[in-house]
Amino acid sequence: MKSFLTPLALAATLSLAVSAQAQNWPVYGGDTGNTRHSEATLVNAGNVSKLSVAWALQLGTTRSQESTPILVGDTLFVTSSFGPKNVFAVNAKSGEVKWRYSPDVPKGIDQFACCDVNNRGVTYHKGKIILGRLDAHIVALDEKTGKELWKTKIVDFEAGSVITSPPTLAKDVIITGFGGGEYGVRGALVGLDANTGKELWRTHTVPMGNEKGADTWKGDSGKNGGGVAWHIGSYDPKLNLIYYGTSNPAPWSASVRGNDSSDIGQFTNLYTASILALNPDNGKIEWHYQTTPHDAWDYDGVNELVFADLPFGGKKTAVVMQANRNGFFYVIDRANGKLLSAKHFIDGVNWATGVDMKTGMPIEAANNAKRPGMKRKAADICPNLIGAKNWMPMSYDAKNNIVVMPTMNLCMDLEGIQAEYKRGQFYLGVNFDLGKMGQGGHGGGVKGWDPVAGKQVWFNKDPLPFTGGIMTTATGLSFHGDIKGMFKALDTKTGKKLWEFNTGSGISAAPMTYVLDGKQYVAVVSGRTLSIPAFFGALGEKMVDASPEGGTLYVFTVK
Amino acid sequence: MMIRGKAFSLGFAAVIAAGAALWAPALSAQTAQTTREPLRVCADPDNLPFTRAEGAERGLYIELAELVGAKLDMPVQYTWYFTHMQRRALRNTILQGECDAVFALPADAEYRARGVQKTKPFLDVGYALVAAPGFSANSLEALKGKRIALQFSSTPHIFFSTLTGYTTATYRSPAEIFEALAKGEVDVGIVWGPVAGYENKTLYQSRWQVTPLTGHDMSGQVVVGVRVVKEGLKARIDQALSELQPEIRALAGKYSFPTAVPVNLESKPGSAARELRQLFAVRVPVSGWVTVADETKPAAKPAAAASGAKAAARKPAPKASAAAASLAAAAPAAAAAAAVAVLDPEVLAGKVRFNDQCSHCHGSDGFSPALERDLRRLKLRYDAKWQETALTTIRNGRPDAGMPTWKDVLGEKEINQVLGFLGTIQK
Repeated sequence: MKSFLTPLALAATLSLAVSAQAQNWPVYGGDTGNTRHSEATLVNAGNVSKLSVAWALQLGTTRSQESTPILVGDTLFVTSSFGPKNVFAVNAKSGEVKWRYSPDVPKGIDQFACCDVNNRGVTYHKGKIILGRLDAHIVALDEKTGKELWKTKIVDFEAGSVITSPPTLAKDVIITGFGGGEYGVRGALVGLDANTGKELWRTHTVPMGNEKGADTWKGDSGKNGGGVAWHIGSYDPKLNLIYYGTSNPAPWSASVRGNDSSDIGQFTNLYTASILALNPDNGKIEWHYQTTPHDAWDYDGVNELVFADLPFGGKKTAVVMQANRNGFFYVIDRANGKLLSAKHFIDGVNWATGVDMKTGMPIEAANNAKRPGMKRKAADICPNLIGAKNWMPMSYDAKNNIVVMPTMNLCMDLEGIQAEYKRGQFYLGVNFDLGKMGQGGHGGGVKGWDPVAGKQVWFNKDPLPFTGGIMTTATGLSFHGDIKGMFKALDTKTGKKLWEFNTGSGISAAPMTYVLDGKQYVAVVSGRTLSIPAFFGALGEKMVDASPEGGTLYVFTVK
Repeated sequence: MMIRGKAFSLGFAAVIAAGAALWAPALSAQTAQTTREPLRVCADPDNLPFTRAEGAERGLYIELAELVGAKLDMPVQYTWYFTHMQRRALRNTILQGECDAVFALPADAEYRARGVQKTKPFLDVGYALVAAPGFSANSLEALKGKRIALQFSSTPHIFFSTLTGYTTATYRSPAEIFEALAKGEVDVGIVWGPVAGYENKTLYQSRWQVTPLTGHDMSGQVVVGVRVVKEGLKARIDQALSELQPEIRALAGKYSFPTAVPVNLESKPGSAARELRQLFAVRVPVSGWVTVADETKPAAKPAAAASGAKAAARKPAPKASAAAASLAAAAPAAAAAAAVAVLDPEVLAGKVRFNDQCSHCHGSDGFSPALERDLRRLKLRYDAKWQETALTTIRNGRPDAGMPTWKDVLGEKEINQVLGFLGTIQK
């Protein structure tokens, strides 16, 4: 698991950014491989039932909290939703606020944040706290004072692009994407000098003109082709590669972009709904793997890319794993992009029966049965466009060779009709129904998954969808929240519930943990999602009724 | 972001239904029994030619809302909310009981929201061909061989992508399409009709010929959305709308909605304009519907003037841009003065007035610990537009945020003095 740490000198130079599985939590995903696994051992199966609240912090906003705090020294850094409205630096032992940064974000900006006004957290680099804002700026704050050190505009937010995820750090380069897959934004990843904020490179994720792959777009459709990288990236210092997933292509209608059928031909629409590996020094795309070619379902490929060393083909291979919205769990050689495994991770996936391991192409249901097209309805497509898993992060426990992940079990009807919403005006909708329960009638749940065998180990069903992100620890514990606001500790090997605490508002964000002065703390933000339920009809009502809105950071310890 | 903005492209209807359920309006006794019940309207503050919160032109819907209010003897109150994100706009306004009517919504049956009922359609809207004067194309076939500019993800964009034999290029906004036309990159553009007509007149000196389209879902109708719980209101608005047909026609003319004979894209090549017009007219029978296309010579006179009463009382807006420009010139001077700690007399007057009348909420010298009231941050917040924004806010207030309207209290000179002072305290 620690292959990317082996050169000790390198590990030392990059200590804060890379110290995977140490007892602190220096980056959003726990380590730069997003494993969300902690080596901390003070909380274990024997004392987890004695966890109690050490302190709490009100975040100042009351909806859709998605932040995972990071720890630097003895300071915890956490963001709220809306802008973010607040970034807090707090004493990690007491919760005392050291400073607070409340940026001036233009009023009305939530109009450009298509799906929610969230923020997922910050990134640390040499005395600076770096974060993305809804107004599509990246800012660096002084770690000690919260004062702005630099501020760089990435893209025009009024084009429908906002930034909601922490940037990825690779050496002294800070990398970010942005949103806008529904606004006809042409996606890009942007590399900045972490010390000054100066833009070093910009790589479009949709090729055009003479660029390789431009011919995967019909006509000039790549010009507004989407493929934005709005979620978190990963970084492998040994290979010197960063990894990002990209969103759906734009617009929703595949007919504009290609053949609008399972006979895709050349129009795969690169590099949308793809996993990309880039050189952080110059932004060059080293390899790509497209999870949903010529997407017609909104199966974004942005979900976090998690590192592991797994035995494939008789040898231990450094891989990247992704539980994709489209219902497949992908394992890919992270050095060269070779597909090693692609298995359904929820029951009932039917848009594709499998993936051709030779070509890497999905084997779609015959006769466009599950591919919606222009004036062509596809019914009971599973999973629905929220995905078999959405952004809420999974975790990988190498010792137990298990991925623990929040999954969803919903299906949809889609029918493309040629018409769209016009601002403030006349609209002819496309028929869709997203609130259909999948096989078994449960909304989702937490799953233990063997990434080598490609098989389920255990499954805890949740009646409602949108279970929160996961953290695993070296003592065989998994932590996560749910939409009712229950924060739970499970036995990683069996999924058995060992402890729970009612935080009072739904939890989507993944927890984190750290050890200070001989005490292990477990932290999670609570604050129910709001955007998602609005898509689900009657099911959405139940999700909203599951808990009130909120915005609190809870920190637990064994006293 | 975490989920997609598909809400507004993929089946908005379902989403609204959900939103309606989630935000079941709290039936409250908040409407205190005043002498006259207000007509509470939700509208977009910046969506000309349809709606605008301020300025000389308030848009067709706002003028219409005022006319309807006058007919019903109900003073019109507005809740302003951007409509880019339509599901959210409805969810956060009418579905929460923030207002009783939305001007306007699509008439299409696919478009529905639980808790909102629709009046009869009152206006026909659709896409339009924009081209050089004299451009003639009376059928879809006639567009073959032309270079056609389409707006990204619009109905025409998606429609043309299903055809072969047409040369198209995609642009993100009507402005980009007008620019492409001007550069000669394309021969014809297809733009949302009311926007095309209005922008052609206001921004391009009517340089282009704007011809409405119909067929292949290029056109439709709009209605007023009324809260279901407001019993009887829908019927009254319907009545008013049917009585206001001449005014609606006049307003469509005032805002340059395309009024020429539409081209029917579903007709066979070579059809005469007369036939097309008849085809279009076939769709008229819904009562209360005004066919703008039939009005070949729109009245130049604004409808508001014709109807008198409340709508006519609409105040002419101050010359915002001119005032802002003069301030822009004044501000650096003021800042320079501040640097040597000697305030320009005008700025000093502004400071005195500010501390006298504004410090109650905004703190002495504009230093408020509450972020949203800290006037030292105007420039940070609104960048180059800060003076314009401040000017508008002082004049018109922000009633929803507790900021009073000052234009009836302070004169332009005094407001400018205050602004001059604010220029000296920006971070």
